[in-house]
Amino acid sequence: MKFPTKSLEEWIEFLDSQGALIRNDREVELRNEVSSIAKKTNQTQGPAVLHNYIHGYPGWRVFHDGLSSRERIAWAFGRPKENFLPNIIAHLQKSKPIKPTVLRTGPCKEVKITGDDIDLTYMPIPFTGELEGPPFITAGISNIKDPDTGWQNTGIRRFQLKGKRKINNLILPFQHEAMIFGKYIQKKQPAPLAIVLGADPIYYLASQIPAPAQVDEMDMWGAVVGEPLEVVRCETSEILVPARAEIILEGEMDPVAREFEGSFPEFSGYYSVFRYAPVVHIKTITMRKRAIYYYMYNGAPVSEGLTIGSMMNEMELYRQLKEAVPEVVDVALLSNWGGMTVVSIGKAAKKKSPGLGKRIAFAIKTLKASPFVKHIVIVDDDIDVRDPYQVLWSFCTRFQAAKDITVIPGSPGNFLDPSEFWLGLGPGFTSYTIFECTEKLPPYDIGYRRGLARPAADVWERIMGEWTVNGFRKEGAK
Amino acid sequence: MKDIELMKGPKSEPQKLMERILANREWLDQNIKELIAQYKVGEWIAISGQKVVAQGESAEEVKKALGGVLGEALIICVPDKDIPLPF
Repeated sequence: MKFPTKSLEEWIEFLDSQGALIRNDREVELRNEVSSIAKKTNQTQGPAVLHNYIHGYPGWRVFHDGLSSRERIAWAFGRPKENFLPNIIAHLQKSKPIKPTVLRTGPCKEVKITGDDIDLTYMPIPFTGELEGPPFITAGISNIKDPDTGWQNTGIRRFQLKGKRKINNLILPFQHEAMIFGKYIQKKQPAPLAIVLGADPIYYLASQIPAPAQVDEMDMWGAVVGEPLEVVRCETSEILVPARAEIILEGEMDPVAREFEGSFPEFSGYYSVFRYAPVVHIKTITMRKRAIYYYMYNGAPVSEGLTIGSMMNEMELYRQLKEAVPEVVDVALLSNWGGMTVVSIGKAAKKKSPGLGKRIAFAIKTLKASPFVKHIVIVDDDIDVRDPYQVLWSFCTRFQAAKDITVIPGSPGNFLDPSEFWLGLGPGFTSYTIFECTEKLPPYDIGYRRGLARPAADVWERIMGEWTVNGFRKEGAK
Repeated sequence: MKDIELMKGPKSEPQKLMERILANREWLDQNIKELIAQYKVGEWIAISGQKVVAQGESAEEVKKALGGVLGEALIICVPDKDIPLPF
């Protein structure tokens, strides 16, 4: 395993070496074609794709789905896929954030474009939804500096193209970026912003680690890797960006101007409502000569953005929930930012602690990491919480709606959930539903006493230890 | 591979199309209040050449009126006048 990969190009080479990349030499259209390929790639957990020819955009290449599977995210972190959550949490708990090293220059400054020469219509920005117009930059990492403390916040945002030198940046009130931008509004000053398009995978993942306020996500890159991230200073501000990034859009966010933003293919699968969003005027672009444009498919699950967000959110939810209820074995956000959250518990612990499922369900709603949990499914620990087939099997064989369902209306939910009538600005409300899909305790366990029908455990373990994707046994196994 | 300047040079048809989409979007942004007053909430309209060129009860109906090709046209569902201002 190559760890860390320090640029998008290195990451693409690594994926290729693992058989996890398709280099597409057939010309593709930005409208509907790239997004169709990305949608199917996500649905099938297929390889990442590098499109070498984009119709009407000579020389450009478009890359997507570098992080659209758990396995690839584990690779990016340099960790095994098995027991990933406890493993990466333990690693981060013993690691310290490391400040980046500032270089004088880097590959991201091979080309500099300023003033009237800036024209974003040269850039191959794919349309995700048919009715999206103009399209959105979906894999842009926004960087903003706190004007008082120098704290640099980093996070993946969506940016709608609105002009040759103008984009909209939808900021939501609960985001750290909003907290910082609020200070610029109070000072009546434009907020310098740097948007990184295409970088190493750890930079993308670190940007999604729910770091507390005043902690730079770039320092978390150092915590993951054990060495500092190499960065360069922007041309027009003090913002730091990865030296090996593909493209940097430097701009200023107007403290007053707002524009009509949308419609965007939300993770719910539906188009967003129109909202007013801040306006970013692009002042400078720096980039590699042969820059690769990074695109993330959005919309109904499965999508790359959702996979990254869910997995990073899952990490924090697991850590917090395990602290509150140690009997928790595993946690998975199966869909839509926790819309369907599955938690497993040990059978022995359940016997010792009747009502454990409810305890978990109530505890989870008090955690900072779980505002969007809508349906919580409690399963036994013989269920792989990430396997929808196993979860559905448990739902069919260990759940009776008359006894095992609890609905709590008016609970905190996700304001982007289209099944809620109210699409307001606050946290949103939902019917929080608890599905207890576990084997029942005595005396109600008659149906389970005969036991599960399956091969002998020792033989199963041995066979699984030798299992490969393409054959029954690993090479060299006897 | 020959060095190509990615961000300059003569524009291709898709790049020119993007410019026209942006012009239509700018017109939409500038005229949204008038459009909300003129059309029903939930009605679908198409904007092309910086004017409304089709309207209907669904996106499919409006797309059909455009001959099945979007081109530079924007198809939008007319929003309520209370457009959220999250920030």
